[in-house]
Amino acid sequence: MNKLLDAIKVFYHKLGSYPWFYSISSKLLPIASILAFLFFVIGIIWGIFYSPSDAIQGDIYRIIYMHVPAASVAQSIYFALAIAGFVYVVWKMKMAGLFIKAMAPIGASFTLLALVSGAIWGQPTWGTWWVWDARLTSTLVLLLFYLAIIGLYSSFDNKKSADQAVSILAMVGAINLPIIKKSVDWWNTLHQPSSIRVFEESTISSEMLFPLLVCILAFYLIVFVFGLMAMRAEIATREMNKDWFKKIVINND
Amino acid sequence: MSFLKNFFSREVLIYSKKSSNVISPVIFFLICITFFPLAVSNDPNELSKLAPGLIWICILLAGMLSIQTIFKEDYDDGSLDLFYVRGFSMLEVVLVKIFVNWIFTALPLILLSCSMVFLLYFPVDKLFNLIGSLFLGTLIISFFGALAGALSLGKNSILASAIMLPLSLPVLILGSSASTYSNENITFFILLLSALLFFSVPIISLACVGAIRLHYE
Amino acid sequence: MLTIQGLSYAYSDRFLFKNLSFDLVPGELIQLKGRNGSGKTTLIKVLCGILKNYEGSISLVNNLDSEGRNEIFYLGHKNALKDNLTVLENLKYDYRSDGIELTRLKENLATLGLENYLFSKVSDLSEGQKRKIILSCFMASNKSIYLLDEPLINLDEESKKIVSSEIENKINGGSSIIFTSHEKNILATKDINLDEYAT
Repeated sequence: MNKLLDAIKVFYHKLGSYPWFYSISSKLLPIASILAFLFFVIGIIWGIFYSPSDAIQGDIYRIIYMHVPAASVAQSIYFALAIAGFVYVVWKMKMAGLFIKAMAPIGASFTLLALVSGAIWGQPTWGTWWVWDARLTSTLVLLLFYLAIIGLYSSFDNKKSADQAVSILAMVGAINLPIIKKSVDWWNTLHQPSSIRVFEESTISSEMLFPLLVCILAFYLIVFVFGLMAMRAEIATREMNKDWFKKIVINND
Repeated sequence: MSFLKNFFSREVLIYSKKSSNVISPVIFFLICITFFPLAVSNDPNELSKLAPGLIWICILLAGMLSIQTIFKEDYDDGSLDLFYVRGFSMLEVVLVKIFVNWIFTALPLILLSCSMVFLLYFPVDKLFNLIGSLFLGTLIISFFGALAGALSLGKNSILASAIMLPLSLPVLILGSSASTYSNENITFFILLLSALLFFSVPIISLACVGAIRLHYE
Repeated sequence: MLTIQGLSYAYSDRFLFKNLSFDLVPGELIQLKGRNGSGKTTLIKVLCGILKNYEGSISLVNNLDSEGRNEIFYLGHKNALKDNLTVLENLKYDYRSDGIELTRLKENLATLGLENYLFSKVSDLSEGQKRKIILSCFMASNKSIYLLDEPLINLDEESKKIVSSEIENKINGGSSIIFTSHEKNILATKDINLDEYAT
């Protein structure tokens, strides 16, 4: 048990060090990229060409292979940001601040992708681009949170203060997000908006489910790759003048 | 205790000497309210249906203007430096400042919103719901606004609004629902709002302390 | 009384000063020197506890307060005065001068030539006059350590002399002072040039 604890401690300290992360990520990056590409191609081709078309929606439903994975990673990234914020505020681990800075734009992009793909899906199926439905509204609020984090970060000159500020915001936002979601739900049931039921309680057939799972996995891998790249770029801007970084750059040339 | 009392009277003195602090939210609120009948409709039935939402939006916007700047003056003129030198509890400073700001900006707006019974044909039987929910809701919004202001000290004001508005969404929903729906439901919403208040006071005020601190790194 | 060892302060990963060590003993008057941006104001703020993000150690010995703060008088770059309040109202709620009798503050204001401005709003005063208000707190206070950031800025020659002699009085009374100034007419017992600690 103690050994395991020590191993975690060592890993934690390694994770906090820029040079270690920079070197390990350069090894991980090619493998992860290939995997992400493979799963993405397999998932999308499977979903678009080899899965059955929906009885009611026809082929339109196939946008699910973009929409659901995007929405899923959008939420997961925010969850990860909040955890990183907590780690930064409590233990002042600088990698956590860097993680928030690097991941926020990625999260915002996937949230936007989820919203746009949802709208494109909505137009032919329910005849409208947008419904003030609980799920759509809370995704829009999620996008606002991401934008607030990006805006707040960019307003600071001092990286330390910026990291601290976005950590606090990510934490408070994460505490507030479930409340927002719940209150949007109440608001939605109170208004009983339209005859359109956006997400029916439907069971998805396994022939559709498997390609969807592959796509979700592919999106998480893509986020992993993008995240590594963004974090490496951020490390490069922060540590440009440090000796270890110069050494790596010279060795690569 | 003596510091709390002293600091409270200092804040009250500052607010009472700067009347624009009190007047500008009121003016903003009235202008906002006036726009709606002109832009949307002057039909009493329609207006009385829209009234709770309109009042809540206008109060949120008017309150936003002043709450976001509560730490700005002390930050710019170096008073916060002195608080740190003297080792004052910043938690007390934050709580007193938010409370005094609420007394001087939100309270007049709440009283003023009673007049919406005439201006927006707000149903009289729901006035109690409106006032009750406004009391709780404006307090919660003050805390979120103070956090937004503390995070964006010395930055532009759009940023503070961008932080504050998504945070205050639950209050807007719960508050306007509380003043829309029938009297049986009111306890449900008031309870939820009070829960939100009790939950946000400790967390948000501590976050405020941390947010002010980060400008001194 | 105040011992500083290996003090470094970094802003955005760039060290303003590095490995600064010195002692401040009673009766000492230290002048901080250095080019603009060399970290004089930052050092003062670090010493009085506003900026906590430093490396190294700052230790106060023989101070009454456990935190060591009440023994420090800080006069910052900014005046911390409220424009909409009168001079007297400002002094009433000034956290530099609490515990000091108002009559003493008034005497000092009179010495500096502000006796007719007690009920004027601070916004109507000039920068030099505003500086005099907080200098009256400095003159009336009785602490063991004074950290003064540009105490003589914006003052007329006569007031500079008054404040300089007050600084000497405090030194002779056993207090110790660290100050930053570009003036040459105060006789400091020790100089610290921050340019030497720059990186």
